[in-house]
This record gives sequence, structure tokens and C-alpha cells, in this order.
Amino acid sequence: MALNMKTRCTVLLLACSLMFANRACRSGEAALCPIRLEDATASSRITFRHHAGENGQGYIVAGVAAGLALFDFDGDGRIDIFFLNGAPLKGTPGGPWPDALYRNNGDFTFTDVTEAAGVGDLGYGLGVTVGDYDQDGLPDLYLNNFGPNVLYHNNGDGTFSDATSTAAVANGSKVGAGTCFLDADGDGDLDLYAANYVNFTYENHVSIKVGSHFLHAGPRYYKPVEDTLFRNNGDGTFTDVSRESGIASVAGPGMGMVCGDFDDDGDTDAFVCNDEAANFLFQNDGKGHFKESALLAGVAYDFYGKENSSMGADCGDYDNDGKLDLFMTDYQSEMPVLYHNLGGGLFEDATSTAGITNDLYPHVTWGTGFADFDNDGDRDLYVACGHFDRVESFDDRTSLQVPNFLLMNTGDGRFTDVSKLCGSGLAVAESSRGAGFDDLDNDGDIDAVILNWNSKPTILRNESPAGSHWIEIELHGRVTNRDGVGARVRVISGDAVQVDEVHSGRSYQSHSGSRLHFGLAQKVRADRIEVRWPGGKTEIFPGAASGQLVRLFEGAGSPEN
Amino acid sequence: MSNSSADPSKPNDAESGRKTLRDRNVSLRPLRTIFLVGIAASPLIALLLTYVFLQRPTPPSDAESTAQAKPSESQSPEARPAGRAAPVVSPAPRSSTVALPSIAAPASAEQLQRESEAAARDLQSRYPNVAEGLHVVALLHAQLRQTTEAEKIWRKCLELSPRRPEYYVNLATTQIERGESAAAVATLRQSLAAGCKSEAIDYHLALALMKVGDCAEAEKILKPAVGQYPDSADCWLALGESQLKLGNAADAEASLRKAIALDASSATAYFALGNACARQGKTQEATQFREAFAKLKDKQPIAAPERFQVLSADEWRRTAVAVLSEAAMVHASQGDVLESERLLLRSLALNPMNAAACNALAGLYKRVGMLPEERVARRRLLDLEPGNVARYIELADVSSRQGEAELAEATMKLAIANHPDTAVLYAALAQWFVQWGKADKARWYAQEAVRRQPTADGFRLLAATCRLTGDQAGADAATAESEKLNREPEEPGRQPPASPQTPAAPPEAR
Repeated sequence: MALNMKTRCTVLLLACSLMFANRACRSGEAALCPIRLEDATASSRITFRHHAGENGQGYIVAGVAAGLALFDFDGDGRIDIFFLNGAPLKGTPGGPWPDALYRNNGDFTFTDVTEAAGVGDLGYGLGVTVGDYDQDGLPDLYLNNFGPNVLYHNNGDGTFSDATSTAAVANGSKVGAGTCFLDADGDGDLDLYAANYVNFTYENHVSIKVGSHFLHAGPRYYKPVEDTLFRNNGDGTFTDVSRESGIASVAGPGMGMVCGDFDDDGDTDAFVCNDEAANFLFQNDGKGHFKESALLAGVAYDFYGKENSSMGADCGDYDNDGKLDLFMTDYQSEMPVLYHNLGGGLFEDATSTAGITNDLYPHVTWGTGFADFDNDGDRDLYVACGHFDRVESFDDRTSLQVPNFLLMNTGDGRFTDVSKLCGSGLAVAESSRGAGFDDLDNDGDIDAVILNWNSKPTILRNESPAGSHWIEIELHGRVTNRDGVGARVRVISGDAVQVDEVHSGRSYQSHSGSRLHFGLAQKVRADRIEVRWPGGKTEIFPGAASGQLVRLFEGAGSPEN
Repeated sequence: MSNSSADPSKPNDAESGRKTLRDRNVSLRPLRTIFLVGIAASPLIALLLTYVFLQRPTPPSDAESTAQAKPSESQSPEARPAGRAAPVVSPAPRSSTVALPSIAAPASAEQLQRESEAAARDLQSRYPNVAEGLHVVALLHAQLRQTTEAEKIWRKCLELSPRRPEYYVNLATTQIERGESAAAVATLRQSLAAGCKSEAIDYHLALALMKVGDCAEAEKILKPAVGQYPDSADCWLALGESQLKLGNAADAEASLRKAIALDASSATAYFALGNACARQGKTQEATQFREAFAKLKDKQPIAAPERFQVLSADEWRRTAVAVLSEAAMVHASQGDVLESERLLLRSLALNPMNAAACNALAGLYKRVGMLPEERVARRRLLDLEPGNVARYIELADVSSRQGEAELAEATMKLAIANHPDTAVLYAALAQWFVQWGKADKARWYAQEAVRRQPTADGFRLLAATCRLTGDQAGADAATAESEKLNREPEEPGRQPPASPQTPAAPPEAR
């Protein structure tokens, strides 16, 4: 097997001095790096600034904010941006700091339409997802807050209505986290999963003072809270079925989450990151009953049996073996974990064998996503980093604000760190949290939006050299849910086969990627597209030329033979 | 984790740098870290404390030698004519110039940090070319997550002592903590090139290789390592892990079973074994091992403060005690006895229960002939470790050297009363009786020693006491038995042969 670039670096290290070898290796790699992500924040006209809403008190909720959503709210074919914001926590002056919706102008600039759209919630935003819960063909927004949650119903005219009370999904006044729409019970509409963190209130706030600083207490100072599953009643209302579904049979300090068919049995399962506790994998029996089986599946702990402080998660088939793998971000002094799907519901920790760089180890990692940034037919990995304390004052390995990482898939089941080689976008040092990935300018490559804690966001424009081909697929369910959430798509292009699935909610308490994006490398067309709709029914669609967004409607394809 | 009562037959783990990476690296062996130090948050504390308690640059503790049931200044009974006691040196009686605290002195975290840093700075400025001293400084920097400085100092240690495995291992560990695992591999390979062949080097090199994804090379290192160190549970575990990562589940299962046979307390090993079984479709066994893993995890909960890398006052107290004690050893080795004494006394003021510091203080006093002070320290050590028979012998020894034979005898009788089945105590007292010219008593205790544990040395001692009492036949029989035991391997629990003229009662009863 040929040495990849990272290996060549190592060989050089042995021959030369450390500094010289690094320089030599990197300058050689820079010319080769096929991904360019440039910082386009300044020209984007986005003025949003995230506020954690605290004034040095070290509230646990402040450290873990917040996510974002990328979705086409107005149906104009362009992906818009929704940012969650904090609110003044007790003892903190200032505010209000509403969440913000930016409409995509189509030229990589964005216009703040929060007020007009009516989505400027003033609650303390933590997690967000997008889904068409009422099957009207319009994407709705669900906000998982510290405090009452909010469901914004999309009116179809560029505005939203607060449907929380009607739908009965406020979820009390908990500390929220990640959230996902999924068809849990296979009845064709989208149910709603809201992960919950810990039982923090102002009354039980744990104050950790070191020197003159208050640090953010970890989740073990509090009790974990069971997650919530709302069943969609099909009439615009929901019923809390957490107990009967089995979701509330265990409690964990939930963080980011992602739903998908991880055991390949045709229904949608839920993977929930837990902070300083074993993760949860709720396996669905297809009827909305879940069994927590993370330990048996091999995703509860890392390779060494350690329960990490898991933050965010995404799933994707990084090695193109037809199965959805999982990637999970973690706290500092923990490696993010790549769980390779072995099939049969079993995963293995492939972090080191896949070459995930150890440079991530000192940092807290948050938002993440599998995305084929260079359209070469395999999925790369983006990892957002940053602390919530001024950690650099007592640890020289990391800091509050650090640059994020981009790990390029080398096509052989391994990744190489190209963070310093792929443009100005990865040089930005912030304390990043939520991260979303989608084609913001409809030019056929994946851009990125990063929510930075207590700061302005980062907008990354993909300016990778053109040359590789791509195809995007948008699913429209008719019998199953309108967004195709939970549907699996298989794209066959020559000898290359790729799979992906439509997810609602992923990364760190964020949402993006409703349109599936497939890099085709040098293939000019997808020869065949297979869609397995939620529930297991598979349809075959004819191939399509590359370079376009293809809309596939349930029932329009040929049944699988 | 103290090995103040270390078994001298076992290799000094810390000297070879063993376990330090595992102990420090949360991602590798978090549970062991928690177990070792009781504070899950601070893997570096584990490293520091492991070093302090296991490492003895200079001078070595005398506990091990006295624990061999031979008073350190006594001669072999065979070398001395019967009935002639060795002259006992009786120094002019004087009182101890030290008193040991029984209540910990109050100190804030900030104060303890300042004190530790001052001790480290002092070491660095006074002994800039003494690797052992710089090592302590580097450990403190690592503890404070000042990893750049720690790395720099360990490089200096290696310049000064290029063949000390622990410097390579700690440097590599720091590099891994910084996310520079490839550099750690290079460091450990450099140690091999420098001729540092040890279990610790092999083990840590394999771990670093696995971190960079080179599991095949890790397995290549570990296969011969487990041949060379067959009792190393860590090496077997790492071998199993490398095989599991390589997809050789059956080989991994065999290696991990071996690891568990050597150390059944490793949650990580059960976890990996469960995964190896699951990978082979052995569902029932996988479940069983995962349950064992879960039980072990439950016993080692992670404390809430673990998230913070900043040390609490308690953690700083432990760190300060460790740093000051170790600095004291370096000062002693460089001839500054007063500073060494000051630091050890301060360590004990911060933690009066710290047996390691107390033992070091006793050793220091012994080395410079401060017998009353040594006795105070030995007395405290015995209070701290009443289950350690060596402490009685050490206390009796210092009493004997002070000319207080009665006190020594009383101490040993107390030891025997508390540990009636421990042959070494009888043998030790027998030797003292020989030394003090009390042949009948010596013979009786020697007889009791071999009755409990028949050894060649024990019978030689008995033979000597027989000769002292004029029983040549008894001496010949005991000598024959000693020679016989020398020829054949000892059988544990073997009954001693009937001895000629066995006293019917202790000498006192006659």
C-alpha cells in the first residue's frame, strides 16, 4: 500500500529535524491539498453574534451552547441559516439576544429576516432541528432550550407561527440538548426526540472557583435527566411517549445526537452522546419501542472502555462499504471516536486505525460532519474545537479559542489532517460549537457554517478546484414523511457505490444536510439511484447526469426486483 | 500505591518507568488512574505519586535490608565464639531533636502550589546538571500542564542521563498528552537505540504506535515482549488490544485472557475481551465479560471534579508532599542533609500519615548517625504501618544500636505477639540474642523460626545457637538440614524435622 501523506511526514521526521521536516512536508502537501475552504464571514453580511448569557458565574448550561440549522425555509432552492442564541442567565445584564434567521440571497450574502419570519425566540437556545412535522411540505423548526422548548410552524409565506402549545412539545423547563425528528413508529409522520442534559437550576448551581475564576461545572455535579420522545398524533399535536417507548428507561447527560438506521433493519434508531457517561444507542423495533444497546453494539465507550464526555455526532459511510459509521466528538484529553460499522449491529472503534489525528487530543471538540468537500467520492470530516473556560491559563496544550480541523478522506479508509493546508477558513481561531454543512451557493460543493460561542459565526465557502463531479438528491415522501427523513439512498456510478441517509438533527445540537450530496469524482453521471424509504420499501430510479439537484418522489420509481 | 514495604524480590517498577503512560493517559487507562490516586481528575498526579513512592534515586531505603531478618549491624553468629557477646556501642543518652506532628498543618492550595514550585525552582537552580532533580521539576511542570517546559526539562535529563528509561517514557507521555504521538514513537525508538531495553519501553512504544494507527508494528514489539516479561499483565493487555485492532479476534482473545489471569482487576481488559468474543460471534461469553467490565466500572466511579485539570487543596497537598519528599532525596544525595531534613519534616507536617516521607527521614537519620531522631521516625513508621513486620525490626535495630537492648527485645516480642506466625521475627530476635550473648534464648527463638518456616538460613542460625549452648550434635543436625535444604528447592509449608534436644519450654521458663 502506498504511503499516505501523513506517513510520508513521519518518515521525514526521522530523517530531519522536527521543525524542518514539518515545514518541508507541509509545503509539499499544500500544493496537493484538493480542498479549499475560505473564510467568507466578512462578506456574508451576517452580523449575528452568539451570547452565552453569563457573566463569569460558570453556569453549566452556558458552556454547552449552542447549535445552528441549515435549511431552505422559504423554498427558493437556497439553503438559509438559523442561529441559536443564549439569553441573559441569572445575574447577567444585557440582552435580549434573539435567535436569528438569515435568508440566503444566492450570492453568498445573507439577509437577517428574523423579525419578519417571527423566529426570534428569546429563550436560551441549545439545540435545534428541522422537519416537516405536519406534512404540509414546509420545513418546521424545533428549538431545544434551557427552559421551555419552541416549535415554529412554517406558514409557507416566509413566516413561522409558534405552535408549541398546540403541539404540546414544550417539554417542561429542562436543560435541552440535541434534538431530532424521526419516524419512530413507522406510521409515516415525524415524531420528535428531545435529548435532555442534567437537572440544573439556578438553585442547585454548583460554583467551581479556581483562583479568581469560576469554571463551568461538569455534568457529574448534577443528576442526568431522561430524554423525551414525542409521538406525532398526526393532527398537529404530539404525545409524550418517553416511558412506553423505552427512551426514558435510562437517564444520561445527553448532548448531540443523530438518528439513523444503524443496524440496517429498515427502521430509525437513535444515537445520543452523553457527557461523562456511556453513550446511548436506542435500537428501534420498528414500532417505536426502543432498547438501549450501546454497550452491545460497541458505541457506549471508546476502544479502551472509557466513557468519554461525548459532545456531537454524525453518521456517514466513510469507507463506502454500504453501512453508516459514526463519528463522535469529545472533551479535552479524549480522542474523538470513529465507530466503524461492522454490520449486524456491531461497531468497532477505528479511530487510530483510520488515522484520526492525535492533534485533536488536547482540545474539546464539538460540531462535526461527514461531508465530501472535494467531491472525490468519499466523505471527509470536519471537527469544530474550543473550550468554555480560559483553559490556557492552566493548561498549555489548548485554549478557549483554537482553530478547527479538517480531516481529508484518503480513500483507503483513512483520514489525513489537512487543516493547515486547505485555506483561510481553517485558520480561524474561535470557540466553535454547532457546525452545519450544505451547498450554500448551489455550486455543487459543500460549504460550512460554524456557530462560535460568545462570538460571531464563521462562514466557510468551498473554493476547492473544480473538476470533480457531483449530484445532489432531494427526497419527497408521499406515503412516508414528506422530507424523506430516515430514507436511505444508494448511488451507483460505474464501480462506485455510495450510500447516505436523510437525517433531521446531527452534529453538535444542529441540523444540516437535508439534501443529500454525493461527490462522483470523475464520473459524469449516476447510473442508478436506489431509495429505501422508511419502513424498508425500496425503489429504483434511473440514473442522472452529474452537476444537478435531482428531486425524487416516493412512488415514482420502479419497485426493487 | 506506596511500596514502602516493597518486596525486594520484585523489580523496581518506577526505576524502569513502568506504568507512567497508562497512569497519566486518561484515554488509555482512565480506570487505573482513578484507582491509583483516588482522584480521577489528575492522571499526572498518579505519575507524580508513582514516581515519588516507587523511585529512590539515592539513598536506597534500608527497610528492605532489615526486613531480611538480619539486624543491619549484627554479625553472623557463626563468626563469633560461643558465650562472647559482641560489644554493644552505647552512645551517650540524648533526647531527639525532632518531634513529628500528628495533625496536618493547614495550608491553602495556592500556598501548597507556591511551596512546590519553590522547591522545584530550588532544585533546578542548585543542581542544574543533576538529572534526578530536574526530573522532579519536570514532573511538577507536567502536573501543572506546563507541558512545553516539562518536555524541555526531560530532554535535558536525557542529555545528562541518556540511559534512564523513565526519562524517555515520561517525555513520550508528555508528547502524547500534547497530541504528538508520532513524536512519542520517535522518542521511545531513540531510547531503544540508546540501549534502554525494558518492559516499560516496549510497552509504551507499543501504546504510542497504536495511537498513530500502526497496530502491526505494535504487535511486532509486544510479541517478544510478552515472551521476555511473561508476567506483565500490561503487555498482554496491549498485545490483545493491538490484535483486536488488527482484526485478529481469536489471537486477541487468547492474549486478553492471559492479561486477566495476571490482573483480574482490569476493567479495560474485560471490555476488550468482551469485544474480542463479540467479534467472533461468542455472544454469551461477550455478555459475561461485559458484565464483569460493568461491575469493575461501578467500583471505580469518576468523581465530578475530574473534569477540571486544576487541582483542589487536597490534591495539591498530595502533590506538595510528593514533590518535597522527592526533592529531599535529591538534596540528601547531593550532601545537603539539613535541607533534606527540612523538606521531609515539612512533608510530614503536611501529611503526618505519609509513611514514605517518614521512612525517608528515618533513612536519612540512620545515614548520618542521628540515632534518637531515627528512633522517633521509626516509632512513627511503626504506628503508621503496624502490619509491616519490617517496621518492628527497624525500630528494634535502632534501639539496639542505641545500646538499649531491653527496648529492642521488647519491640521484637511485641512484634511476635502481633505476628505470631512470622518466622522472620523469631529469627531476627534470635540473632539479637546471639549478639547480646543470650545463647539459650537465641536457640529457642531460632528453633521457633525454623518450626514456622524451615529454610537453609534458618537452620544455619539454629546450628550457630546450638554451638553457643554447647550442643554440637544439635548443631550438626541443624547444619545437615541446612545443607539438605540448600541442595533441594524449598517446599512451602514443609514441616521441620525433629531437632535434637528441643527445649521443652522457652529459656525463660527453665
